[in-house]
Amino acid sequence: MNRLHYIAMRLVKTALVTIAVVVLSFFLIRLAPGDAATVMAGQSGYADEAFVKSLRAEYGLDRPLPVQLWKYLGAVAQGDLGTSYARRMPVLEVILQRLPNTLLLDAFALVVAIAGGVWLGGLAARRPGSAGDAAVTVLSMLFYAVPQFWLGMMAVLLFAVWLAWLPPFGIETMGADYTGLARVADVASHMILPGMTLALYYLAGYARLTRTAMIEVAGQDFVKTARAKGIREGQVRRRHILRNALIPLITYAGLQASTLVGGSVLVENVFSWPGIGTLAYEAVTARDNPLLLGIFIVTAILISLFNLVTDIAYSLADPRVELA
Amino acid sequence: MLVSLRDLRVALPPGADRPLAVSDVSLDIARNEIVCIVGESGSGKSVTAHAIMGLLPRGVVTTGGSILFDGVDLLKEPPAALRARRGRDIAMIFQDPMAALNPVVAIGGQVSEQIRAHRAIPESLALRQAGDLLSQMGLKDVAGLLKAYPHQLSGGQRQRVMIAMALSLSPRLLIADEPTTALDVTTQAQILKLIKAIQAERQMSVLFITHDFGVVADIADRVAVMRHGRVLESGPVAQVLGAPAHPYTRALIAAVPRDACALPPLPQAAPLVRVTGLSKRFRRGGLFSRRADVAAVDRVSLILNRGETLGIVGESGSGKSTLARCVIRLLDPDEGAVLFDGADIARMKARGLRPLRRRIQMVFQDPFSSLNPRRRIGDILTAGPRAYGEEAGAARARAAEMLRLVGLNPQAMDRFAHEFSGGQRQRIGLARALMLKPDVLIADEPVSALDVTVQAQVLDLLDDVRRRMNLAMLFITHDMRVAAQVCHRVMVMRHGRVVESGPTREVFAAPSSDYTRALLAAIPGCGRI
Repeated sequence: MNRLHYIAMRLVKTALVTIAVVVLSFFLIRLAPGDAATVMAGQSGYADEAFVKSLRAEYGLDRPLPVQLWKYLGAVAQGDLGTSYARRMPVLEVILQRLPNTLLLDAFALVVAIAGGVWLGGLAARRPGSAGDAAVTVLSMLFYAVPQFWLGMMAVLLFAVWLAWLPPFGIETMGADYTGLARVADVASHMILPGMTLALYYLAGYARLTRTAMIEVAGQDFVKTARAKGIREGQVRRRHILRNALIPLITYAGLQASTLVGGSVLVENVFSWPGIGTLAYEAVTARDNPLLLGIFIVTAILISLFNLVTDIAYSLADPRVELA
Repeated sequence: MLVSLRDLRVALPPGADRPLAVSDVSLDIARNEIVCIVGESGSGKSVTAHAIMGLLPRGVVTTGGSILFDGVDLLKEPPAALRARRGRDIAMIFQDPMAALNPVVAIGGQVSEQIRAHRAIPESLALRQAGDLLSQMGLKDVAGLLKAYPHQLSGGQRQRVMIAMALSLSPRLLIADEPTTALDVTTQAQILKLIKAIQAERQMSVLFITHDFGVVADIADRVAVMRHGRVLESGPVAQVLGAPAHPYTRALIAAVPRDACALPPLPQAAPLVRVTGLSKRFRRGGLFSRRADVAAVDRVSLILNRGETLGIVGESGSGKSTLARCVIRLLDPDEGAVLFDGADIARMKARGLRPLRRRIQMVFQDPFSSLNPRRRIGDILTAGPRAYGEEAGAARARAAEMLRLVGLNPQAMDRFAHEFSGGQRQRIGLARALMLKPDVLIADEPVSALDVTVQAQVLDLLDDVRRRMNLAMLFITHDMRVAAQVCHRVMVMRHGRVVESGPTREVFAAPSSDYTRALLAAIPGCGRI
């Protein structure tokens, strides 16, 4: 089938999914007792019945739910995600401020995880059952099993507190006002700890997956054919074994990218990384429903797009897969 | 001599069923001749071939003897020299060309890769040479083929690509490891012809591994018969086939199915299953893409009588398995009726179908994947009757009886499927089908995965069981020789349609359609053994 046609169809589906997400989360959020008006009234330090009521009227919370939903859907369709109660700012603006930080951290973690995992897995697969294989297996089990927030805290303790090599939190040194390359270096040094904490967990997965896939592919007939052709061993491993073994990794990478866009709430919070994860956490604690809904919508759209990219990448890597 | 194996010994890893895969094998291959090694699975024929290539699986090692290639002992050559020799002096082709080609690299890239591994030439030139080779192999639309991927080719095209690749550097020895076993019979005949023609034209030597004496008769100059890692007998093909010295060779030749013993049609017909105008279409494409219907079965009618075996013969894609699956309602037919004892199975609802299901049972092709590896044989056998409410004790007693009927010890009930050989598993599969006392048995390629001597035993068993239980059997096969052995009547299918049908003897003696004639002519060793 025509690739453009396929992509257009998928975008239509993405829109449908987004609408479903909006409707579902709209009702889900309102299942919790109390509303933003009570929170705001509480924060203001003065709350009688009349004040809460006036707040509800101001934000349209006194209308019937279907009416609220309809108004909200109409606004979303025009790109207006509403106003954050807590920040008194357009939701979209708040999200767009934070989103690049999360994407930056995720991209770093993804690249480190894939490069490191594939390399380690390839190493382990070279001689299954050897000491090197056992070491990689144990190491990846460890990374897989250790809770991320704990690993993060230990990393802060070791590299930021004791060794003082890296900054413990934030995205840049506060008040330093670096520009140009100095700023890039500053952000990079802040990114290493949270990035590595995120990456190690996924790296373990890639290592396990690569190892298994490479061992399985190495036993297939076409690898024997490649050797029977008199090709050098390195080329047999790269062109024939690794190339086929990488196909299942695409699915895994797609899934990982999808989970990461929602922001890793734990890791971002441990390192006070100003991303979507911390934003979601703040929105929940402040009962900032418009912000929370906005985050849901933006991440739903991004996840759909990542899935689309995964499927296209899959069809490019494996000629047997057709987009349909 | 181009190749001389002297007392070659290949050891299996500790814990294997025997210490040596190949023991003291001596074999010569002269220039410009085709030598066949014949044997059943586990005979060591394939290991011998891989030892010459220096491509033994991990843990399998040569422990003695020599492999002289043009006077050089390959076992003493350093790995780098051996690698350079592979593909250049000695090339190899394999059984399943789909598996032997890299699924994600285009054909052109795979052929040119071999050329460029040995010659420092640019990719474009290597691709041009690859194209020339492909057209020499009788392949059309070479430009398109070079860009195509293996899954887009037919089985015959893939094996031609493999041969083109193997011949790309004009090797002096071509090793062919069962290169036609996975192919349809007419394709097999073409590939055998091609290999023979190329061998004569290029005056190279061929070591051809096969389990099929029919193929031997077609292609070999000389033959070596192997069993349990030893060469039992070797000599010119006429001598080994005409006057086999070893009893095992005689048994192997005798086990090749022949049409001479075809069963006559039953004297009186008592129709049990009546299929009329059955069609099944498969739909490709989905919600948003263009739909295309493929008629897998196209208006097929047949009658199956009590106590009779009806053979459905056809090549892959002929619709024979789809037909069987519709008869047993594993698939829902689009049109037509399947009357079983007067009731139309094709239109029946699940509830009404259930009591009928037990009366039609199926035996599958692959004895390895059709038995649950994690359940004991006793559980597998009794699961069916228990599902129909039979008591555990009674079911187990009958399972023991059925195992005896198929020639196995009832103690097999406490064991797992992996503890049995392929032939034994197929017997278990048959016992499982018989547990529900069916009236109709559908056997879908029940012997294709088995060695020829085991094949003969299982065919005998099927016929014996059919007679004893007065079963009606729908026997699906791609092998005309097998059909000839057990079927009263045959039906030849192609592209979902019935090409010809009639009593087996008549169809074989005087086929009325060109396609049946082509199928019969393609039988390896036709008329020579």
